Amino acid sequence: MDFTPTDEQHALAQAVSGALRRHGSPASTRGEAAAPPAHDAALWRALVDIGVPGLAWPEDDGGVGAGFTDLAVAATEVGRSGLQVPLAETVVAGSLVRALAPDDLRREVLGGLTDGSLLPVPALAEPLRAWSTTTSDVTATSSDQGWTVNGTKAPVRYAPAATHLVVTATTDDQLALFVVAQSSATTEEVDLDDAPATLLAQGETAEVALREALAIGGVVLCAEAVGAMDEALRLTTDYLRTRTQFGRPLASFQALTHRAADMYARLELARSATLFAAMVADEQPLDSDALLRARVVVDSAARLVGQEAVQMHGGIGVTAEHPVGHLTARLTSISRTWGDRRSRLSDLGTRIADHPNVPILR
Amino acid sequence: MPEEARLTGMHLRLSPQDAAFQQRMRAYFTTEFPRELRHAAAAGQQLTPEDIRRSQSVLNDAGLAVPAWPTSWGGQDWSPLRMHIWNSEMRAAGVLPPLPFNTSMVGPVIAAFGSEELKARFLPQTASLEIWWCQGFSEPDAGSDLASLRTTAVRDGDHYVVNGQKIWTTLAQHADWMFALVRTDPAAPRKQAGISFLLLDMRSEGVTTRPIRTLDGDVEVNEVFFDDVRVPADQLVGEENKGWDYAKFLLGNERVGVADTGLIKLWLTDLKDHARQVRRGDGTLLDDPAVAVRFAELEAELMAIELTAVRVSGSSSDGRPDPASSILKLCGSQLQQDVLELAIDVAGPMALSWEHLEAVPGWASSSVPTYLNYRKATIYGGSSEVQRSIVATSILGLKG
Repeated sequence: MDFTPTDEQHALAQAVSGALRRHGSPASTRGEAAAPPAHDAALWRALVDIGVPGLAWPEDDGGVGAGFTDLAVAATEVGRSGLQVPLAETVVAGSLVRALAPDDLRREVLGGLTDGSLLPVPALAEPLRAWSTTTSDVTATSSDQGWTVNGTKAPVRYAPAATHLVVTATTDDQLALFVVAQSSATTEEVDLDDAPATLLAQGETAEVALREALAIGGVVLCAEAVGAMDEALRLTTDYLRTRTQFGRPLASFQALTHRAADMYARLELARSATLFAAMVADEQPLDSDALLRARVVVDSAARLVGQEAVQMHGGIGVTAEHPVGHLTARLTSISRTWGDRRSRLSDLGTRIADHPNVPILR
Repeated sequence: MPEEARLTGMHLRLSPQDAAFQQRMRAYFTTEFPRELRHAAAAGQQLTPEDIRRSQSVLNDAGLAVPAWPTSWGGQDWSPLRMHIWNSEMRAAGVLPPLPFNTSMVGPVIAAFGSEELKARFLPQTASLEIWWCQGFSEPDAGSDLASLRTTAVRDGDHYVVNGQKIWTTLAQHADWMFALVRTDPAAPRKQAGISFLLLDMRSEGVTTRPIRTLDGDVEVNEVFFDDVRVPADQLVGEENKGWDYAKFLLGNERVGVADTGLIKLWLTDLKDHARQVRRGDGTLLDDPAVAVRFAELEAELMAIELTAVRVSGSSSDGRPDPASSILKLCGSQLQQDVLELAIDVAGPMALSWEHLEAVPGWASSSVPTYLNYRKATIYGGSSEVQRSIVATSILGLKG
């Protein structure tokens, strides 16, 4: 086991942060709210040009064939930049397509994802339904003309820009996964009205594939969170050094520096868990519980770092024009994307009796 | 291409060499190491001081007592990963790790800063535990502010004459020797600059040890008094008045030892078994979703700390402590306490009596005293507050 990044990974990080800087425009620079921003096609194109969306997919499927440790390096730079791109979303949608779609659809979607011509995203959440990977109020029916789906998915991140949605729906009292070509949504609400759909899988097969795809997408979110936390802590320590109150720098107040030390400690644990998760994601069979544990570790770090970064900035931390609160907003969302701390822990809790302990060495 | 060369960069799997190393450790600890010494420790029984000495002597004969020392003195030059494998396999087999005062504290200091004479005189017996060391650092008025210690050592010919008092001296009642921080220059401009690192025989005339009873009723720590104790001057380590530097080096290694993830893993594994023994409705306490969630939380935290211990070795090197050791100490001690707190809740109503009762298992009646005893974990070896100060100044550059 080795956590040392390669020279190539350092170069990748530089290329990604350079592209983000040149083509991105964080909301804070315009003094806009920290709301999840709409898809930025030019920024995404810049990342496509350096191969980022294809990193995780094998070359046979039209991808770059690099793996999740490289993807995590790129995602960390995204998190650090204060910008948002559909990286984790395309990983979830792409994983499901890769695992379940017939050859031609798989190559089409993963190839299009890699060359930037297609943007598949998952459409899972439903209004007034607690997060679930096993139930859906959207229904699917089959006829001579094929499958159609009916119901509402919301919110669906990046829906207006997406070309394909991977949708959960219920049929014959079972969960099923479908691909829906999409072009009509103008908001993050997707109303499916007899929408033609391609069946990916049903029942147990669909549930297992969904759980694994979300676990793998979670690795991207963890890596993004680590970048956002890195930047939030950097901004905070800079501020503590330079901001003067009561005639002395904030860094002279132990009530603040000790809390900054806790932020650092939690961040380093989150970094270890994330690098580990990225390595686990490249292995088959997938140890999705290890990925869930990484998310639990990142969740608690993200909460502490995000909250404390704003608090220690004082009033400026809650303004739209300062970047720190935007990082906190993103960290808050990441922890609630595809489940939350409670759902992850209770999921892990159901299998707690299955192992005496958790080995990290393999 | 050799196997080792292909595994560069980030990778998950142990290399074939490391996997073979892991098998070798597992085979040694589970089949060669004396069974009776392992089982007593695994059953939660206290080993006698004689057992502890024998256990370490066996480890030392196998070359497994002091792997982190320089190779010329029995070290193994292992990677941080191999050090972790060694500790994990030792703990998993129920083998007591070597005495930290000897192997993580004074040994590396003597090896790094001591004269050749001191090394030859002390290191072999320190590795084998023929000499049992205790740590003479804290004083009644020098806790977290260790550098304000007042025990004096005044040069008198070939000797130092030591007067003063140490406190919280762990296992001093069994110790043969003490490594002590003493003030040799009361007039030094900085209090850190007047401190020396001295080795002294606990049987010297003028040394008095008084036990301190802790909340759990046990005697683990002591006060040690020095009344005109004459210590040969050749038992000074390194240079006079440079002791603070050596102490910082030592404390860095002490911190890493506290994040003993192998021990925490053992506790958590046992605790799951205990939860399985407790009936709840038709099932067991481990079926309670609220209890299961607490286990899941602690397992995730343990995973993160263990991974961090492998990622950053944290050990002192080049004469300096690695500030990363502070994170391991800070988070590892907190996790120890969280596990022991869950242990009380697993014991439930049985936790309310400390008496040995026929029908109540020992793990349950000892849960509260053990929990109280381990409040020490966030205090000793540099309190959590001291660790936060180290992180804030050394890593984050936050200086008032």
